[in-house]
Amino acid sequence: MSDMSMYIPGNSFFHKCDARVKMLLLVIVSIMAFLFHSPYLSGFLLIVGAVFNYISIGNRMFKHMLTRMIIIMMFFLIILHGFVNPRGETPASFFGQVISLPFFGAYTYEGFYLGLVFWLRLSSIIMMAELFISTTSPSDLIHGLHKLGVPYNFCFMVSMSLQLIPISVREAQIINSAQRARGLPEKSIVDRFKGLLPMFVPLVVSSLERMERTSMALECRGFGNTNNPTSMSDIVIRKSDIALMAVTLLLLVVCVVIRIRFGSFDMTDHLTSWADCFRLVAR
Amino acid sequence: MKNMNKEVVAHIENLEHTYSSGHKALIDINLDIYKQEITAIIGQNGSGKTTLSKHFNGLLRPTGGKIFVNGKDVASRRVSEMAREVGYVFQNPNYQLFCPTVLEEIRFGLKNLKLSDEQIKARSREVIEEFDLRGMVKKQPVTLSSGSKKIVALASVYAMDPEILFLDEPTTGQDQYGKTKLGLLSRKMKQLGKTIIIISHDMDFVAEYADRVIVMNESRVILDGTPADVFSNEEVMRTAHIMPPQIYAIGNHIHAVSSETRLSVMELAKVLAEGDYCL
Repeated sequence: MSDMSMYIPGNSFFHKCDARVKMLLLVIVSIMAFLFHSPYLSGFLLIVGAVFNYISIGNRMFKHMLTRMIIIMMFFLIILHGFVNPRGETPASFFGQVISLPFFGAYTYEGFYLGLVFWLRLSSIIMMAELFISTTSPSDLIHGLHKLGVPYNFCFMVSMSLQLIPISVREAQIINSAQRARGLPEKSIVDRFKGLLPMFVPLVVSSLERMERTSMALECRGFGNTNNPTSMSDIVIRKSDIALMAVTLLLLVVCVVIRIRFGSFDMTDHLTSWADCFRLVAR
Repeated sequence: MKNMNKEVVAHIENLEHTYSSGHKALIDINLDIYKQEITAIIGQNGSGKTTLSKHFNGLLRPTGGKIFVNGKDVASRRVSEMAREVGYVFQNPNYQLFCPTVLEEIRFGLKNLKLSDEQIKARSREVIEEFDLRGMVKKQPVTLSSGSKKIVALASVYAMDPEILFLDEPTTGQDQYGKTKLGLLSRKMKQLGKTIIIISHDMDFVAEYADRVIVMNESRVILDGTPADVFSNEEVMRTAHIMPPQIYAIGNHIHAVSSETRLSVMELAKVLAEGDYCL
């Protein structure tokens, strides 16, 4: 992956959206995803997140690293939980058959249900994080943090480190090529461990050198003269941003009220068939 | 440049490389590299020089066409395996040097080749002698001057006794002393039977030391010949945005009658003195 900042430039609604609003959105989604013990709300959030992502970055969302992570997690969580979750009691029927693994026992409805809920919770948050990361340029992010009261020097440090990641990745690739060209063995896993030292030393040395050069170059251009430098681009909260914020806050409030009045809709103790896993209330 | 008398060490057939971003970095490259020659590859940044060179030891794999080194297809072989035959000295020696002493740096490659202790000792002694490194074997490579670092990086690759040696931008950041030393070392390695390939933007260095020059432009080889042929071809020089060494530029302008000579300052002075030219 050549560009590790993962920002995908564009001109969509979410690209123009204030970084602070998007941060708030991420926080609210994270809370809502864990409010209920049922797949419905987090599933809804996942779909909404996916739609938002599609609106913002189009087809590129399918190639996004985080989207891939969601799919990989789906397999791991739903399959693993089915077999290993300690709350699993009722063996699930696959067309009348029970699938079981040695040591772990049968695949259970409870395990499936919990795995599904857990996967939906995590992936709805990841989906929102993907929206945040791929539509917020690093400089907008820094502006957002600064406006939220984080000191400028710290924000600058964060943005510099973010930019260093792709540079270091590229550098690591070059160093790796250089050592392989010198016959560094690359057959087994042991070889790979041995190869860490020839990788590590040049990488650290060059990173330290670059840091020193960068800091001198910054100072030469007057960095540190003021704690509150002039900001050329300003981020403003538009009316649509306020509307988005209001809708999500309202949704949060409604969900919290429902949670307090009606509980978490946990179905784990009432599972006897596949259909039960997708019921909102017990029969 | 076809040459029937020389032994071919590397043969490239319709080589193409397209990066995953879709950028075509090499288009239809056909080349033969001859033994015991110093070949220079020149061209603008992004013309495909480095991409081409990384195919020789398998750091990059062709997306089309084939490349053979010593008659064997590179595609099926590992980079560490190729290291025995193709040495690659990277532009920045800092990316290569990591050992606590220069001596260990030289021995690193030899250990990777799984030579015996005696062989390693003998070979490293030889290399230290040839590269005149006696004074610094105990020093830490990181603390050396950039010129010495370059020499140590070169020595550590040369120690593995590869048939072909790639030098990526050997003269960047080098003073005249370092350049001359690198040039003379290249000649010496050539005499010892090595094939040297230099990737460079330093036209004076290329004109002085190369036997053959390959010009690349926009992913293709656009000219291949002796330095005199290449630098006197004004049209190609313009398309490739290359400034020939001044001595050739003057030569190109005065149209020396005996244009076959490889121009040196002395030769040009002679041509001028004898009035053997027309404007």
